[in-house]
Formats: sequence, C-alpha cells, structure tokens
Amino acid sequence: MAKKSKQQLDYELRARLIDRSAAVIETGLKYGALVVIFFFGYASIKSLAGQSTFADIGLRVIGDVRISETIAWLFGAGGVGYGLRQRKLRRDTIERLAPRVRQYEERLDPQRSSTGLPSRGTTRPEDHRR
Amino acid sequence: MNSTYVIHALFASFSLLGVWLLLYVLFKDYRLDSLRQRLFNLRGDLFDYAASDAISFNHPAYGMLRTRINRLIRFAHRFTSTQLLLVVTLHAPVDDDPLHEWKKAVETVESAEVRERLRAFNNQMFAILVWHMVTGSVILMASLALFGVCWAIKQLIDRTAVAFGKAITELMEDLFNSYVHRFPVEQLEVQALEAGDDAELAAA
Repeated sequence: MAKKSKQQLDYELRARLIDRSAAVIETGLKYGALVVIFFFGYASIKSLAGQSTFADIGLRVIGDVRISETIAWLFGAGGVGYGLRQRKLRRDTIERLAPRVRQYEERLDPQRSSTGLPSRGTTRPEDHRR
Repeated sequence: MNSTYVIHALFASFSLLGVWLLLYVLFKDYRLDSLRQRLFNLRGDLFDYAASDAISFNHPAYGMLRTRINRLIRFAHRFTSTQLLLVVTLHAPVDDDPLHEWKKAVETVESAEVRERLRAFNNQMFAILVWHMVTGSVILMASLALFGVCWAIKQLIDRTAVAFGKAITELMEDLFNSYVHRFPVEQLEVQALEAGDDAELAAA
C-alpha cells in the first residue's frame, strides 16, 4: 500500500473528527429529546398521584389544551404525510426498476405477456369500477 | 395542579413520543431511501446517456463519475445537516483530489457537448446532496429561506436600479437633445462650411 502524505493524513483526521462529532451531536439530540419526553410522562403520572414537582411549569405548558391538541395533530398529519411519501417512493422505485426487468425478460421471451399496468404500477384509469 | 392539565400533559407526552418516532426513526429512514432513490435515478440516467454512444463505458470521465455516485449511494447515511454545519462552521479543509482528477478526465473528452452533459450530471449530483442536507435541518431551511428572500430583494434592487438608470439616461438624452436643438447648430455648420470654402477660394 502506498504511503499516505502528511496532508492526506491530516485530511483524514479532520474528516474523522467531524464525522464523529456529528454522530455525537445527532445521538445527543435524538436521545436527549426522548429523555425530555419520558420526563414529562413521568412528571404527569407523579402529578396525578398528588405530588408536585419542579416540572409542573413544563406540564402547564404542554398540558394546555391547544398545545396538546397541536402536538396530536402534528403526530397524525406527520403519520399520514409519511405514509403518502413512502407510497410515492415505492411507486418511483417501481417506475425505475420495472422497465429493466421487462427489457431483460423480453430478451429471453419476446412473446412475454404483460399486465398492462401503467409504469408506476397503479390501476389503469379505465379498469376502475364504475 | 388541576388534573385536567395533567391528563392533557400525559396525552401530549404520548403524542410527542409519536412525533419523535416519526422524526427520528420513520422519516429519517424515508429521507435516506429517498436520497438513494434520486442518486440511483441519476446513475441510471448517466448509464442511459453512455449507452446512447455519447461516451464509452471505459472512458475515465464516465467511470469516475459513476464510482463517485456509487460511493455517495453507499455512504448516503453520512450526509447529514449536522455534518454540513460542522464542515461549514469549522472551515474544514477538503481533499479535492478525486474531483480534480475527474475534471482532468472530463477535459480529455473530445466533444464539448458531452463534456457539458457530464458536468451537468456532476452538478445535479451536488444539488441532490445539498437539497437533502438542507431540508434535514430547521436551521438550514431557515437560512435557505433567508438567503432566498435576500437574493430576491437584491435582484429587485438591481433590476430597479438598472431600470431607473436606463430611465435617467433616456431622460438626460432627451433633455440634452432638446437643449442642443435650441441652438441653430445647422446654421453654424453651414456658415462654417461656407467660411471654409471662402478661405479656400481666397487662398487659390
């Protein structure tokens, strides 16, 4: 293996440092948020049991009907959005891969029959129930 | 504390947990799949372009670009907005040898049209990556929106300034022309010519 120059080693070290730092920050944000959420849940249960904690101020904020409803809507709309985007991605993948499969199969079997579905694998408009 | 508040807070905590799951698990995976899908599409377009006899599959400019796209697809999970922010804020030096080598390889392509097309593929690859990283962060999205607004304002000011400058120039020209035409310039010219003729005649 060719010996790496000092500059190359320096690049690699900086790149590794940035990569690791990014991983630490991302993991911190991800699990930090989870800890805060569990803390709110725990504080709520504790409050229901009659014990007041210093987290009561935070509970007052997220316990506001409008805020808790907004979060619920965010969750619901986010879920629907996620589903729709996944469907689009799946259909994009079908559109990308299907022509190649057809091309290869037609080489082996020129008489190959087809479903006649559109390129994205959806139902043909004329095949819908009237 | 009022128990209604607490029940709402508990309800909100469950919803927040759901939002967390959506953001950090489901959408994160989706975004990664989507990035890979776009890069696969780009690689497919590059393949189709080479297959149309525009460039040989053995040409280094094609091979290196395809290899770079393959690497990006493989390491797509490492292209995050945090990474971008760190690179930008720390002014990290970049080993640009692979890009430099590819640029040199592109220069060896005979056709100018093919060279431009390959550069366009390369730019598209960068655009896909940057868009992925920018849309993954609220901070970067806000900076993009701010940049967009500033850019639009600058364009508006520049265009207004150009239009204003043009209008002023036209106005000054009209003003100067009408001012100039107030003088009997043609008569002066004729007189000068006649005087010149007279002088020539006298000399003769």
